[in-house]
Amino acid sequence: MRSEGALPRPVDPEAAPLLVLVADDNPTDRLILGRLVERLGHRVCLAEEGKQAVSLFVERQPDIVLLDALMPVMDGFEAARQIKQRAGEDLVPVIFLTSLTETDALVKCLEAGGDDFLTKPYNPVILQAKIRAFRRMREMHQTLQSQRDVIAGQHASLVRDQELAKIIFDRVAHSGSLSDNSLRYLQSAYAMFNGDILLAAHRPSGEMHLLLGDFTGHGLSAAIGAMPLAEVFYAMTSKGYALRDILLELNSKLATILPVGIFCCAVLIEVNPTKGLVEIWNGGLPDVMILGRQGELLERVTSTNLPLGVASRERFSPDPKVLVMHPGERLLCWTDGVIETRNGAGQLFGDAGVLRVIDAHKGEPEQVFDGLLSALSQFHGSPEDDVSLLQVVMPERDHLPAPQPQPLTAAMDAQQDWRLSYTFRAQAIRGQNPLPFILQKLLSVAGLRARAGALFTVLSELYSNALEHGLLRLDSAWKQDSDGFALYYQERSARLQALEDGWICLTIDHRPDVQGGELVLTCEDSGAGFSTVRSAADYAGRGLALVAALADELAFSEQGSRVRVVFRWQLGHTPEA
Amino acid sequence: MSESLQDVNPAVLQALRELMQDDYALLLDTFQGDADLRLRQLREALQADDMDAFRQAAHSFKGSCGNMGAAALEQACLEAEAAGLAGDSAEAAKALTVIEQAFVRLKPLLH
Repeated sequence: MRSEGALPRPVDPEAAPLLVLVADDNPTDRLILGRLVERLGHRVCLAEEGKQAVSLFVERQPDIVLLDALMPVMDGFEAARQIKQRAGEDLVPVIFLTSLTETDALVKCLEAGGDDFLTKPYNPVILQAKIRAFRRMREMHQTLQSQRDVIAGQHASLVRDQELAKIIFDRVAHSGSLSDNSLRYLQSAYAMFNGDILLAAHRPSGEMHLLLGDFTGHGLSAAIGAMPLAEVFYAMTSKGYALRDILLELNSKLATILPVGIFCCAVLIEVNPTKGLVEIWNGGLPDVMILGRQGELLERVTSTNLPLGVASRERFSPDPKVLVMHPGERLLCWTDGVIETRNGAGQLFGDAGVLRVIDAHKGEPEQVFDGLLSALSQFHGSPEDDVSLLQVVMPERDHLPAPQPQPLTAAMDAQQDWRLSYTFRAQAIRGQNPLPFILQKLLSVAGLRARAGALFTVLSELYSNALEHGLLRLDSAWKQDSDGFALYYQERSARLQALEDGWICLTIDHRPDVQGGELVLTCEDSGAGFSTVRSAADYAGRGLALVAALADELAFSEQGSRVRVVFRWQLGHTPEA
Repeated sequence: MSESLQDVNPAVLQALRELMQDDYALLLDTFQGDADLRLRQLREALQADDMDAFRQAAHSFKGSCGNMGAAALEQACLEAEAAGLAGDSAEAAKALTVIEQAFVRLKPLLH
């Protein structure tokens, strides 16, 4: 032992004593070192050689190990290796006791797992410094480990939460009409929880609404926004609201609830097979593409709107682009994941990549969807996991959704003996679509519920004829070709916003009788009536032909500015749709 | 060189006395016992011309001499260890003689 300075006193009496294992074959050194350690306030266990040191280590679990390098039976190097191995991820400092000065021997100590050296003769001050330093290191290591465990625990619970949220989110995103024959979609698991959402639902009148959305952000925050989005989308679509109304509501709902910086890039689509029309609204997603029957690119609908949840109601533009789509033509849209896919060299798949795929499948458009997927996975080097892709093929015109079966509980309908009349004036007409409200009133008659689709279709036709031709004086002859369509709907939107005068009056008269009941719908407007030219035009004429087919009676008066439609329903059997 | 070193450093012994308290006598006995053992090992190793055993015994003896403040003996052990490491039995024999002389001088000083 060195004599310099007085023996150090235990400096920190508050600190819990450590258990120190001292292994030295030399009894004198063992005695002195053991006593020095005790003097510093710690407890000691003593071993005479390496093997005994290892078994004492296992038995007593000391905090620090002081090991002589050269010992009989098992030397300090092997003992250090075994002790370090048994300590696992716990930090047990091993300090070699040595008078070895050759670098090779010191290297051997380090290689065996030694953390430090203490040279003979022992210096009590240095011993104290080393024990304190290693105690701090041990404490930090333990803190680190326990914090790591806490973090791991929190991470596990976060993952559980996310899995739960994903289950709910999947149910929300996958209810509805996604199984419709005309649809094909791919939503990779990662994409879904990355804030991608895909919704589909039918209006009572048969049109299909689709929503492909991409929330900013990831995980829970993105999924939370999807819930109200889906709820509003499904509820309003099933009540018959038009795309425009749904867009307004979605935007204002999301703007209200989402924090700044979180919004939803989306494409909303209405597919109307009966009229051969699609309405497309694109707010922040890549171009929607429409391919012809030969796979040729017909249209691209570029985003011209702000994403949902960004703009205030005044600045938000809910007007979709209306396009003609013939049966067999296909619409494709996707989220950013597609065009932002990168290959190993960091290049973007991009718009050009999409166009190459479309080009490569001329003549076989039914292969485009798969072609796009395989091109992406080839480009990316592995199957792309952050992609949402949707394809809609326009169905034949006679494709109509099956009427939703409704239980006939007509017993109470005998009380449904009433007449109501609503007159909507310019300001109301500009701001809202009254039809869902009227439809709800009609569906209070249980006997009519099975014909909800037909009723809504007829109501829509009557109302839009009154509005577009009666009040806005739009010429349906424009709707002969696609350019005309665009013009027509542009004009419709412009004239509607400028509407100052005029009214539309909807009267509903329901009389129950012994067999069932009779419903008379009358729609009258302040316009000048219509010429018969319009009914010859293909698309426009279809509207009234459809009404005639769905209703039991159809009659015009006042030069067509007044239309009367009669529905009859009977107790006890389901009328045809 | 070993002549200039103290046979024992009294300050070290004093510090050991304070450290060991009642066990100081035990420490002295232990050191003596160990020293006898090491001397026997050194002699046997030299006789058998086992320079590795010689080196190990010198090394271990050197450690406890250092801790006991026996500076001259420690130095002699160091030289013996070096001779053992070099495999030089002539030097080893010389070093052992020096160790034995130093130990004879040290013995009466340990109390």
